[in-house]
Amino acid sequence: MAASYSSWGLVRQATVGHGSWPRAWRAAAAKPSYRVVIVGGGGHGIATAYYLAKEHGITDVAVLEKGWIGGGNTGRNTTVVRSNYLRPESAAFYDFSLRLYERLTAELNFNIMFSRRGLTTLLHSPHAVNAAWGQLNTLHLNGIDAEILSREELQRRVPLLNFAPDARFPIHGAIVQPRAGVVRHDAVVWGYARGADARGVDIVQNCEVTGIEARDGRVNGVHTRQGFIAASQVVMAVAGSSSLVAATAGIRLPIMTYPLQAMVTEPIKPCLDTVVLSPATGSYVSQSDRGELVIGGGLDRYPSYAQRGSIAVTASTVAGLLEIFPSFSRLKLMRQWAGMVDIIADSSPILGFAPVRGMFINAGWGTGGFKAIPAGGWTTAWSIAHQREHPMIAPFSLGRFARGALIDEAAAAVIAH
Amino acid sequence: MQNSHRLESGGCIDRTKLLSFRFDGRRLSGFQGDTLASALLANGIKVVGRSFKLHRPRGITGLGEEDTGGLVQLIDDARSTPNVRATQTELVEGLVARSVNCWPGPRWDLAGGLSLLSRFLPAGFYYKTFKWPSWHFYEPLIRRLAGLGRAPDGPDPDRYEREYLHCEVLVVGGGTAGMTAAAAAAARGADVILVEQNRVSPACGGAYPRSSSPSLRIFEFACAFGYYEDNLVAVSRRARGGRIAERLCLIRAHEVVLATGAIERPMIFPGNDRPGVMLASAARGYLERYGVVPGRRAALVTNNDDAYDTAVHLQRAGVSVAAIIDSRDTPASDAARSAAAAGIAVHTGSSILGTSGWHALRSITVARRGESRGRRIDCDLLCTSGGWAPTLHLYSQSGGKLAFDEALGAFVPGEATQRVRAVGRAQGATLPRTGGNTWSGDVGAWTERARRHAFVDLMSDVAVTDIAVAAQEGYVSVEHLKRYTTLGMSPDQGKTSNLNGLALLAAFTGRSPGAVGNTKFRPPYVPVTLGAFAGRARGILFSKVRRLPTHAVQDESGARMMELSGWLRPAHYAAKGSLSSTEAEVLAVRHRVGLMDYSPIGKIEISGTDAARFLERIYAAPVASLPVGRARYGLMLNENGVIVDDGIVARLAERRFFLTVTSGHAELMVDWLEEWQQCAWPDLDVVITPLTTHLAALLVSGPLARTVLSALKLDLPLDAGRFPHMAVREGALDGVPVRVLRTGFSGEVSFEIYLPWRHGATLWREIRGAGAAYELELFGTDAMLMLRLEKGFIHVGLDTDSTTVPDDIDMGRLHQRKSESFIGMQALARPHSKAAERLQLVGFEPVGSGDTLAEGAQVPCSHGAGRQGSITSSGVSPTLNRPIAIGMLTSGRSRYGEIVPVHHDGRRSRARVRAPCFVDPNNERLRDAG
Amino acid sequence: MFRINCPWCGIRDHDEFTFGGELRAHAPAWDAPLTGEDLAAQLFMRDNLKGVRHERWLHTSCREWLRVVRDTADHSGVCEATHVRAP
Repeated sequence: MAASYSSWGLVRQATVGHGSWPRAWRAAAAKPSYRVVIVGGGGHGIATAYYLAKEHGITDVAVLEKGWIGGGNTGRNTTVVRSNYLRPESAAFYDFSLRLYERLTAELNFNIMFSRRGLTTLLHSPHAVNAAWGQLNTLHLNGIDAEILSREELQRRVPLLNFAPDARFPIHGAIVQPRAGVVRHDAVVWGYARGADARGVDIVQNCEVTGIEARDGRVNGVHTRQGFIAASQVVMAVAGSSSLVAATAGIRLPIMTYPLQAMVTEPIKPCLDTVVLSPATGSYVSQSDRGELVIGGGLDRYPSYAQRGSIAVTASTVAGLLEIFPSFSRLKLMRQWAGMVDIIADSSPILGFAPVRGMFINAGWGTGGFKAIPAGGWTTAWSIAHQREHPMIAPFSLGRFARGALIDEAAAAVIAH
Repeated sequence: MQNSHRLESGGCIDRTKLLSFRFDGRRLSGFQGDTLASALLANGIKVVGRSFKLHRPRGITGLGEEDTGGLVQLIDDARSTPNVRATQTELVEGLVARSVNCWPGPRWDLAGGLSLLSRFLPAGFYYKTFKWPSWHFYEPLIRRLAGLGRAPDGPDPDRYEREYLHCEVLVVGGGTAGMTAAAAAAARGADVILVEQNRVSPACGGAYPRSSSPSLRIFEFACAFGYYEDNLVAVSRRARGGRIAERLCLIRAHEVVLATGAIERPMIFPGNDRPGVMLASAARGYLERYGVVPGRRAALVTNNDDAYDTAVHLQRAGVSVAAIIDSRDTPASDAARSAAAAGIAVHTGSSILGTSGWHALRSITVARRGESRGRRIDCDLLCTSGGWAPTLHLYSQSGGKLAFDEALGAFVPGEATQRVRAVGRAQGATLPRTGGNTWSGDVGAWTERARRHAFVDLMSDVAVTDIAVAAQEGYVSVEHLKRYTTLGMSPDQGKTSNLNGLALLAAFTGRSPGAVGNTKFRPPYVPVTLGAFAGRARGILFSKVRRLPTHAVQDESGARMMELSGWLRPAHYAAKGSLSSTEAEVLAVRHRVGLMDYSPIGKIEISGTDAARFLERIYAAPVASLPVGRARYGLMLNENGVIVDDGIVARLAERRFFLTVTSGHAELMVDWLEEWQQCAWPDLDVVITPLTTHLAALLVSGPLARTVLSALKLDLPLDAGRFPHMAVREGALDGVPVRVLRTGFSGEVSFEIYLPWRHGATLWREIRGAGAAYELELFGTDAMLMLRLEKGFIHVGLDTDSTTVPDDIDMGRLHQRKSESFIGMQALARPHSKAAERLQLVGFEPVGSGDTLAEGAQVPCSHGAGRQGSITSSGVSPTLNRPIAIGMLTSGRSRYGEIVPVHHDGRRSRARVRAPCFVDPNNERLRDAG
Repeated sequence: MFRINCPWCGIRDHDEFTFGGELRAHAPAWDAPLTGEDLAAQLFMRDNLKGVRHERWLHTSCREWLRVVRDTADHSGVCEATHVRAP
């Protein structure tokens, strides 16, 4: 087991000049075979490994990562976690995820800095207010917390919002999920990695999987840049590259890969205490603990694997932000980047066994995979351990497309992120 | 003392123009041509602010964007700006600046004590602590300590602009290499743009080849910050005076020349963050450009020959140079000679063990390699030079590869992927070689105290010990290092620290820096004002709002305007008497006649020999069988069988149809039709003409509609026999061509009159005039929504969602009698699309209290969580004088009469399920005898 | 911001165009009587290739639907386009 992290440990290490901190996770080399190989060392892949080891005692597991762990969308998102989903299937899943997040710092002995500061979705018209009541009632029936704020109450909580009478997007109030918040994204993947490693999972970085080997409809293992690795169970958790990896096993997915941008301003003193989303402008913003404003918006509207976005979308995201926060105009953009996200017609993920036996697909998270990491990993691990899909994820199987039983969260209005 | 550190002469400043400014309340002065940084240094100000994490004193270390200490808050009423770089701020008369991240000031900062705790705050300490009782317990304090300047709280008075430019050659950087390249390109007749982030060539040098060629455009204060596909370079142009504060230029160039220069690397030694320690290039720059000596008594620490020149320069300017500390054993002979000639003591094979001084530098301790005790040398300026690194941020963003050059200890341009090349110092070849590392000896053997006081990133307070901890804990990918230690995450984005950081990581992990690699260079190169990104795209230029043809006359009618689907429309008009405005408007339509500007409705004309075949495929309703002169309600589905729009399809002639679509979908549906026509059925002869903003539409509705219209000069018979329900006619009204559609969305006899946009307001007035005798009322969208609710007609997107198929709203019969194929047909054949437990459109009436059912109220499932239905539209019917509602309910059509629970805002009530149509279910009022 | 060479309008920035889907060599007829997996394959499944691929784009200014050849690995340079309705 890894050394326990604590303030006392920090003091003790300080007395020895920080010379004996143990590795957070080993630099494992891949063995020739494993019971379970997880392709992709992002949040979902590493969380799956962690829960396999912790909940099910399955430790003959390797996580194969082509670069550095957490280097995909886990390390590129805007760190919002929430569970305000309207379809009961989604609500159950994402709220389970949020509840796992709430206790993750203690469980992992690693501070993921879950800051419960609420997601505040602005309502820009009387019709939006009416629609918000529908959302609120639905959320309550799904067991999800939600409240509607009047314009006055919102003005008290977020005074910098544009309450001007001539605002292009007048503000009539907001619908809030108080339990939503932000989480330090890197910490999630590092914390899970440390926990998985301590239980014997091999985390192998710089080990790109070039193909999933399947014969007679059953998985044998994976080909990697470091050679063939045999496995009877292969989990694919490679958001952004899902179609490419699945294709090596002969599977087509209902996914298109799009760039999603995010950006931060220079750090400033605290001025925003919640996550604010404006559906009408397509922009959302929160302030990191470092003081940067973390800004996100809509997709670049063309498929791409280039991990970069168009400056036109950067500009329109910023313009949308300034409509709701005009006083941010003089702040400066410090860093902008993009991730590649799996987009599916019904804005819901694919979680379930593939048509190829022994292969499990964890994909299609759209712009909101980060918040799903704990539940995605937990249910994937459960399904592998029990060799059947966990009931919570049954609606998210690949088979829903043939049945036409889409779980249409796109119908549920707000921007998913 | 004012300008105490200014030389009598020299520099490119205008000494005849004295400028006064304030810093932290002190009144100071500088000259025209100064930057705020040079003016502060000229006044002997060493401590400018405090660092991000440990609140350590910080001073100016650089000359430009590489500076790590000179962030200030500019105070100028509404133009106050946080985190402004003193090195890149031109001094102007009356400038007021304040230091950031300290209270009460940079010299005495309440949080300064944090520095004493630094040994307990190594890289990533917050991942290991602050877990109990919870992060929320600590977060508010940590947030307050972090951050730098303060955000303004009012609107920004400045204006910003976007500019698109094209050229054959774009040169980035106005130094010697850039000016030479630009002049050469212009001389061969190329159209050239040169951008320089400060001023081109300090005029005092005067040696730069200035081209007078008209094909050369030079933009000063223009910083290229992003490099995108196909040689698109984004440039932020700061204006000096004028109405536009900053322009975002997007420059598309056939070829890009990067003359972006090189940035000096600081040496790493204990105490290297003390104000007074400065890059050698910066010290020399302040001397040459501004006539400022940043110290009276200087020392230099270096690993290369280049710094020796700086020492000689300083000496010549009258700064006493106490020592050159060279980590190498043998500097080049000419360098050594020049130092000896200037009488400067050179300590070879030596390093600095520490620095001292209260806030600012007073002395350094120098020791030869292997010695543990050193000699103290007094100095108030320490120039540091660890070699140079080409500035390749843009090159890397362009897709160009970087190669590690061992002799330089830095990355140089490798293979390019676009038409771009680096020249001059950015190319690397002319840069001075270094003599190895920027630290001395085996960094692994340094004491903990030395590591903790030797800073790599002065802005983020990342010290050598932090890199060591990260390496030890396995954060050995350069991206992990950055994220774990926050190296390079501050506003300078690691311009002087990234390379040192990865070299240290390489040393700690036994790799070469080239093998460790670099973190990705992300735009922008320097922070860019958010307002400049938005430019003029603010307000209605960010998102348009359309106005009705009658907009100008709506006001006088007391309209309460509301935006709906991008149009400003009257929601209702002024109330009259005891009724609410909407009640009065609904009752007028039911009993007399109402008028509405209906122009936002989407209008599309379809013509061609195959028009009928085309529409037969588009609509989930029969179209080809429609006789000329008749109209029909139709649904358009997507390929998944889901309703995407509804509206009227009217046949004007055998080969000519007129469609109406939902106002919010007016443009989308044209795209949709064109996509099918061009991509799937190019063989069909069809022309699609969007008419939404070409034709005004006025809706006259009510039992007296025909009577009112008869008074107009309309050349069409209006009687029910010749103009029945769901018919279309073309004619003229006082010479203006019109088409008239008789429909009944309101449930009453209605005429939609379409005519050229410019005639809309005139007709509006005429109808009002004609209707006055019949108490015609104007009605708004609220009344319209109520009228259709009373009839149980859906509003696509409000009552339906992206799962609703025609049968769900009881419109399955429209497509069930079609013989031709249509879009969505296959999906409707799936068992799922016909399942008995689907949500179906129903009506609801409250039971018991009789209170109105709230829009958005939900019908909970009888078992477990979730819902089995919802109220999508609701209100008190003025016609029936009781609450009514429609919505969706699982298997709803088979449940009429059932009483279901309704949940709203935590409260339960009950409702009776019924058919969705509340008024005139047999549509007798529409088929009037007239 | 990559560019597309519209056969009507010449080389224009991509944000004048709207992406409309990937083109497949052997797509079934629009009204082929597909069910189940076949219908799902037609409606939802995508190749989503990384690299050079053929796509459908609308040039929103000239209203022409185009067949565009584009490299999704880095989409640099100018993408060539032809009329989608050409044989």
